[in-house]
Amino acid sequence: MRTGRNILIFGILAIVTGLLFVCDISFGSVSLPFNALVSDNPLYRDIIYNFRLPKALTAIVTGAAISVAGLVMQTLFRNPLAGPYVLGVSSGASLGVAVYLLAGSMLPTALAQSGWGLVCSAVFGAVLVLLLVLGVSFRVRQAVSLLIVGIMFGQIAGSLVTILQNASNPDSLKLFVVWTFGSLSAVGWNYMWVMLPLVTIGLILAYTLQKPLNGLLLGENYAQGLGINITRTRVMIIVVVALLAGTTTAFTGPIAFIGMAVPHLVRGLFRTADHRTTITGCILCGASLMMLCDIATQLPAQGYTLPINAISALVGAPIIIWIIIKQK
Amino acid sequence: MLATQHLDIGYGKRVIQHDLNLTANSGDLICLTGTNGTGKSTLLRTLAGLQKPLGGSIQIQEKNITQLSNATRATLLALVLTDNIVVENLTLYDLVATGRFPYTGWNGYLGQHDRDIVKTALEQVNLWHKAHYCINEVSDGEKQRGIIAKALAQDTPLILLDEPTAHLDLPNRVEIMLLLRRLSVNTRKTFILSTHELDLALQMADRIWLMGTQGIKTGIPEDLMLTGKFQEAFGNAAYHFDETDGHCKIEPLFGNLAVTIVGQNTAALWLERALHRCGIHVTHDAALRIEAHDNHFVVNGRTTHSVEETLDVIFGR
Repeated sequence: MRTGRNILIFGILAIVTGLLFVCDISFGSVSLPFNALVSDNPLYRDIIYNFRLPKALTAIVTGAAISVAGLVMQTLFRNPLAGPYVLGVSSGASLGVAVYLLAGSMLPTALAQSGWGLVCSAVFGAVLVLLLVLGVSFRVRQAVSLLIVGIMFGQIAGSLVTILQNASNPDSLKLFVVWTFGSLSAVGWNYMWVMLPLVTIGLILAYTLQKPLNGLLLGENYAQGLGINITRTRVMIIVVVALLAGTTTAFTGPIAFIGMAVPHLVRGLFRTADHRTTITGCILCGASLMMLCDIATQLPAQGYTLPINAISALVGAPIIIWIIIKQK
Repeated sequence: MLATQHLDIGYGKRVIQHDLNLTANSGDLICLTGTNGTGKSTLLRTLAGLQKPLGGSIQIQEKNITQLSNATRATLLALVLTDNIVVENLTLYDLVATGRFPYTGWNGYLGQHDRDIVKTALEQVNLWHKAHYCINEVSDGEKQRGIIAKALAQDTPLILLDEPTAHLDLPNRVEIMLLLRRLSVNTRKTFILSTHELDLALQMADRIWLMGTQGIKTGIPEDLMLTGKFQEAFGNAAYHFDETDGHCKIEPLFGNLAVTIVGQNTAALWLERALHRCGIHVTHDAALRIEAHDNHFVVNGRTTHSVEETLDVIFGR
């Protein structure tokens, strides 16, 4: 009975994701005729294959990645308010990028061009903040306190970024400022071949963790009593979050609140906390919501787009408020 | 089944209990009791492998459990802890299904055999009809029974329970104890539970592990009572254990007022309790005599119709 319902929801979600993908490609700052995809016009082909397709793919990859990152973080911290953005992981990734772009001008350009350097520094920054927050989470059990600690780490990372900005030369400063505006369209095909494999590895690792994650839902003592290796699971979760949130942040800039909000939508939709269902649910829901946000950024007028971060916060922040009110 | 040799338990360098040699047989229901701070939870956590023993060894079915991996240990003992399980949208069925973790593959897929065991476990705690309720939709007693079913589904010879009746009302406490009693007889599993419910423990347990500051006394409840071990562990000036029924009696004696009760009926019994509660001595040769009849009392020549009225007369109110 439950399984049938789940398959139905998965089917609907998959169709919605597909439709949104088509919509996301169809709408943009330049309006294209309906048959643009099959027309011979080289300009249209260029817009679709080199701009809109990678952008839509980035939306899917980013949405899925940060949602799954949020899901496993909520389980790890046993905290409904955990997520890559709120717990400062995105800020940590930003710090990594800032150090890389502003202080690391002496790195070989080949590394800088391919995107690997960017990713490595972002992942490193993300891991650093995650370890700090995890360390604090052993002492601070209260949901809201941990949240504040996460925000503080984010602030510290932000201050360090500002200090770096002051001390750096104008050329690298410009590079960094452009990155902070970061949008989904910043990812071209060359970056895509870095981002896609890393996120795929992260998602596969998340799938292999579904049983320990389900055990952790009951709390660490019960999980240990069920034969789960807690330390290994914790390390794996950090690797997963760093890969998923670090990689996507490196290319798109920090994206607010989606990673925290989507897991709640998924658990409510499927009426289950079972990770065997929610991981896939988060991938589909996260991808859909991200594409929806992307489409919304195109809405205001021809030739003008809103920053993705503004839209994702508009969608995600009310969900957070709703969760806090519901918890009372 | 379970045996400990020279077991030292505690935290860090602080040893709470020293040189424990305990044994448990299959089918035993063992109640672990003692005043706060004597190390009940520490002992359970050590037996469960959640913390390391500071010395000595623990063997379950001749296997030294401190040397086993988490996964193997999970097939030998299951836990019911005081940790609150707060998960939204987790059904009782899914909760009990987690008990199959030590036996399932990487994604936790349940085969027919696993599903049969989960169903049996839920039936054993009378929750099969509520299997698809979420754990936050059922009562505290039902949730606790669900957690016990999870431990049953884990299919282990030993189940450890840390205060399984805490936070429950009296009917639920009795029901949980009866359930454990029935399960220990029917499944031949060993149950070790810590509890502060002395009355229930004395009436239900096969054996009592009585923890004091000077080690653990073990035995069947009646022997521990007869040899005054309970009085040693729990008693002080304010109360004692009644040797005739094992109940704990509080002694709030503080006045010098004494009363003699004449009569051998229920009214006399409850009047005596009321006097006891108010701190009045009941003796055989006091100046003040109260006659207890089936539906009235006679005190100082006055007839009263309730215990309260009688007390008012005694106190001159």
